Amino acid sequence: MKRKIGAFDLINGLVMLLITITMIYPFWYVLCYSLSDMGLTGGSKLLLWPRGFSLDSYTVAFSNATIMHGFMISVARSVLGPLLMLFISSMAAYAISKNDLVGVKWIRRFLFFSMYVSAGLLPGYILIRTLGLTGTFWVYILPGVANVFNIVLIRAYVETLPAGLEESAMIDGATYATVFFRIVLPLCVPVIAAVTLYACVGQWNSYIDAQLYNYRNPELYPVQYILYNYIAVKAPTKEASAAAHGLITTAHSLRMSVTIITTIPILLVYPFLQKYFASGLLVGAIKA
Amino acid sequence: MTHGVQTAGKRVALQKMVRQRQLYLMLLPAVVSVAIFTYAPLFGWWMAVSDYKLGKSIFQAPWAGFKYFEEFFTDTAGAGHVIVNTLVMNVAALVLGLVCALAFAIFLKEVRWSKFRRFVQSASFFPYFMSWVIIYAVIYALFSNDGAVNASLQSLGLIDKPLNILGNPNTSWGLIITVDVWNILGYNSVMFIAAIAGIPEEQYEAARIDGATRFHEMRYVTLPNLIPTLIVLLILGSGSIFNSYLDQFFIFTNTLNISTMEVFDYYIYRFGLKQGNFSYATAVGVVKTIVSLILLVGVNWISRKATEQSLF
Amino acid sequence: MKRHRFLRILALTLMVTMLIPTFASFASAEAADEEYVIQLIVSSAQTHSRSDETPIGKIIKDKFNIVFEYLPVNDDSEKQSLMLATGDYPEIIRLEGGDMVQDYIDADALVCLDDYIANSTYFKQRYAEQIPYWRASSEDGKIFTWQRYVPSDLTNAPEILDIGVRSDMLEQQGWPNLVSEDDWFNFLQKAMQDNPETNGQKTVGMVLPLAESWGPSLLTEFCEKGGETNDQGTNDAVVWNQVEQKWVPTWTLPAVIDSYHFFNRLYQAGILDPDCFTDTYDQVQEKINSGRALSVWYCTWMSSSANATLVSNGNPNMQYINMPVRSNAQVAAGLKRQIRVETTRPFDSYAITKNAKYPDRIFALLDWALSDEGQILLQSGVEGTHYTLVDGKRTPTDAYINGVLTNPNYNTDEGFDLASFFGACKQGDDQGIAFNLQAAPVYYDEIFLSDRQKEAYKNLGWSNSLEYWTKTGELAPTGLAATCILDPDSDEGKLDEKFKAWIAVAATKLVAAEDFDATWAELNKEYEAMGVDSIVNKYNEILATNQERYNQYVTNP
Repeated sequence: MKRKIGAFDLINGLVMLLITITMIYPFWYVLCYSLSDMGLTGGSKLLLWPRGFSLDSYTVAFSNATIMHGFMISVARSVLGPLLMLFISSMAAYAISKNDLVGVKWIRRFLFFSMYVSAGLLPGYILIRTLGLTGTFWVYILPGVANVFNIVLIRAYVETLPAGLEESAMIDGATYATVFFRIVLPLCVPVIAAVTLYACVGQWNSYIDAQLYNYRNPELYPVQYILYNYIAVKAPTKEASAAAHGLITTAHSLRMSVTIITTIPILLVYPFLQKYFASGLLVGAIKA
Repeated sequence: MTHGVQTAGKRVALQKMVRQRQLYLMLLPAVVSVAIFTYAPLFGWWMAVSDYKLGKSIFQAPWAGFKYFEEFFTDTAGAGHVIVNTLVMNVAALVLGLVCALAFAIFLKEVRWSKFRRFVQSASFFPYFMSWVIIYAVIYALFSNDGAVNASLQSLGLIDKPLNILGNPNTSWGLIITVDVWNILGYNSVMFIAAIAGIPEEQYEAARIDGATRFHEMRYVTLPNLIPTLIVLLILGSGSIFNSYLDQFFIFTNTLNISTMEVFDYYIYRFGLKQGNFSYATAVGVVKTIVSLILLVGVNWISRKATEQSLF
Repeated sequence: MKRHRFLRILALTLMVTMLIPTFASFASAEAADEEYVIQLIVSSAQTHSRSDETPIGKIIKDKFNIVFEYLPVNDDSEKQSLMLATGDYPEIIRLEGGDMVQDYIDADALVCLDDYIANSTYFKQRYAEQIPYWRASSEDGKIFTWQRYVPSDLTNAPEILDIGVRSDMLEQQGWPNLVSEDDWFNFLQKAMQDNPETNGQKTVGMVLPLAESWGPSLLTEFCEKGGETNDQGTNDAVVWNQVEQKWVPTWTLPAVIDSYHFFNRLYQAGILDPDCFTDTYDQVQEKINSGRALSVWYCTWMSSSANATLVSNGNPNMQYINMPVRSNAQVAAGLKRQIRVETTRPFDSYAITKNAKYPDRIFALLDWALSDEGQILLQSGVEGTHYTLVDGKRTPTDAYINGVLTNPNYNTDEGFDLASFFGACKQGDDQGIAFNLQAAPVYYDEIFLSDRQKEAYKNLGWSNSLEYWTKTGELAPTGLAATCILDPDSDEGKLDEKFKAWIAVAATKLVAAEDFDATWAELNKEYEAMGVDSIVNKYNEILATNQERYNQYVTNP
């Protein structure tokens, strides 16, 4: 049943537009700044479009030949990590949603409290080292495989599903595993998609683990770390020489172009996932 | 209870466990992972009560009593304002952040034009990708003494001297809270949007049959379905209210606003974490963990009493 | 039969034991011959991953069969602590500061160099001045590290950081030779009145990055401009009196009070950028890149990038040059400036760690590197490629000059980065030409100053860009001052941390104060309540201890 567009819709639309502008503007600012000719920009004024036009910042950023390899590492971890995490965390979420599981209270506490327990940088490092994970690709994946935050979210979602579904399936002889993989999981697509989004973005953006555990292994650097290093590692002499080379850039401008370079890929993935968590599912039809 | 009944009870439980073995199997990887990666390193807490020397094994460090805890408490005794700063900013950002995200999700659903709706939702995620250095660059462009905001206010004749927003102890809280809410609006709202997507259509149909207007639908169908998610996120967030992103505060804190901008983690970083003083840092970590857990349990309990919903 | 067998076994055993030394020497001969790859953590992004891809690195490989693998990673003190805690340090390591070095020594992570030094050829000679100081700074007198950028002498132009100022402003006012704070105040005030805008943006008189962690110490810099003190030491609570060779408190030093007062004047007159308290390095760089800032305090190294930008966007006359400043009192007193020349430099210590596979080979390379020949290779490059000998004097080739000026990666391309690990001594050969051609005064101005900068100095009547300072300053070797390090875990160390936090806020209040004297008096009460004198006394105690030790070692190195 179609409704007429009323005053509410207009106001709502306007507010949404304003929110969108505040959300996007900073990103737009970064884009404009990165494309600006640093010989001209100097003030702290707002940018609505690039001042002049110059790809120098990007040239300098890309002059680091290892970036391509870094992209591959980043893609690999952003795909493998979430996959493994989803598998393990969703199963766990389903299991702890069962109130009649023996010992479930303790298991829940065991898991939840772990989110607030932190042993500190050093013991964590020693553990990773003892496990032989330093200098490997798996150090990006394994520690995050049981993400309790996601387990909590998925469990909360699972609990909103009608209990009748499972009961009828189990009466028909289905095992827990079948129920989970065939019935529950498909119904959890929205929360799974949301959690996948968080995980992908988390993996894509992370560089601290590379900095801590893999800094001696350049072939394992993800792209975020390469670019972070490129900037964090003493910039002044580079800019001075870059300037002399005819490439006008500043550390600031480099940061901007680096942000754009590392953000674009994830922005491409985002609409794809959005379809899943934002779409409605006809849950009612599945009710047996 | 007689002994007989107890053992019988135990036997029943064991039988149940066997029946539920698949569930245990499904739990196994997660539990093992958490045990290894989160609980195992707790051996490091020995550093908090020992004189740990860099380069030597943690276990060889001699017992030092609670002197690092004492040191921590004496250091922070004069730092009550730091705790206040931290709590005010974090609690406000948590509550406001979630409430705004919830409202945003609800109103977003009401947008008719699906393409626009998807665009707005995608846009809301953008801030999450930016590092604090970049965010500050934009804020600087807007709010510094020569920034756009001051420039326009001055040219409109509303003020004659520029407002120093970035270096004013009175604006610290408002600035950080606003920035935080803005930053995670998209991130938080994803959960709410997913929850909305899972609301069965029948609930809406039923409401409409009862003569509900659009506003009734929002208030009596959408909103109640989101409350569970809101509560879960609030409880989860409550355990972290003493934590702050150091990147953020390194950039925003300066000598002009430090009295209200200084947060707990920043304070500890400046005084305790220098030069590999791991023992002190660990002691602080222990205190924080204990306090966070108490908070978590407390908020969870309150939630159970008030709404009958809780995490554990 | 048994005896036969027994004899056979005996013979076999004898043969084997005789052969073992042969095998062993085989092995160590192999060790000497085999290519030795060492991972180095470097502080700038690299174009090559291995040193033998550079001309300088090739020569080292040919001579020593040692190749370096570069790891461009941020090795700040946090990272250094972590590396120590996990035993994951590289074979040759750079350590920041005396207390970090001490931590490593305590953890038995460094190789003691005493035996190597005793048998060395060039190490002993090169560091003859330094060795007693190094021994004096530790309790047992053992040496575990060497340092970068020492020794230094007159062949290398000293580093002077006063005020970078826009040359067109000087031109506008007839090329005044600014020195005193009054000169600068009046000059900047007039310049701002005459130039309210620059390229469409509001002009600011002076910028400085106070939001950086080292920001607050910028406000006390008058202490080094002329008089008995200079800003030796990384401490904010004490200042080094070179003439009297002792530590004095910073807060009560007249030059420091004048320093704060100067900034207060600038702030009240609207000359000092009101954003300076919240400005970071980046923001200041932006302001001078655009020429919007008429002057930059102390951070004159930032001008080179700004100048290049100004040239390329058509404003070459706006380029910045470095000009002197002194307080009025200092001008009146007319004392020489104590130009800090570092005798020791614990901030930049290098060591061979216990993880080194062949420490002997590393030290052999180090020893050779510290000879004149070694330093020339590492800092000047390869003869014929980077420099030629004209009348026996090293002269940069056109390729070198061109490379330095136009190639952003020239230093890393050619392998000059290695010098950091092997002394990078600020000295010269017996012709008096610095090892590092870029630091040689005789070449510096010619090659590295832009036309506009040369023009500016000429118009000011200077014969070279350092003339004012060489005339009015004297070299102040840091000597024992640099060996005084406060233990961060001691009571004084903790008080020092609190002081640092306090001074940052106090300095801001002073600069922004409407009534300077009243504010200073109030803050002084707070200062006295803290009892900072204990820090000063502690430093002087450490100085005395080290002095005693030094006296011992200088006679028995």
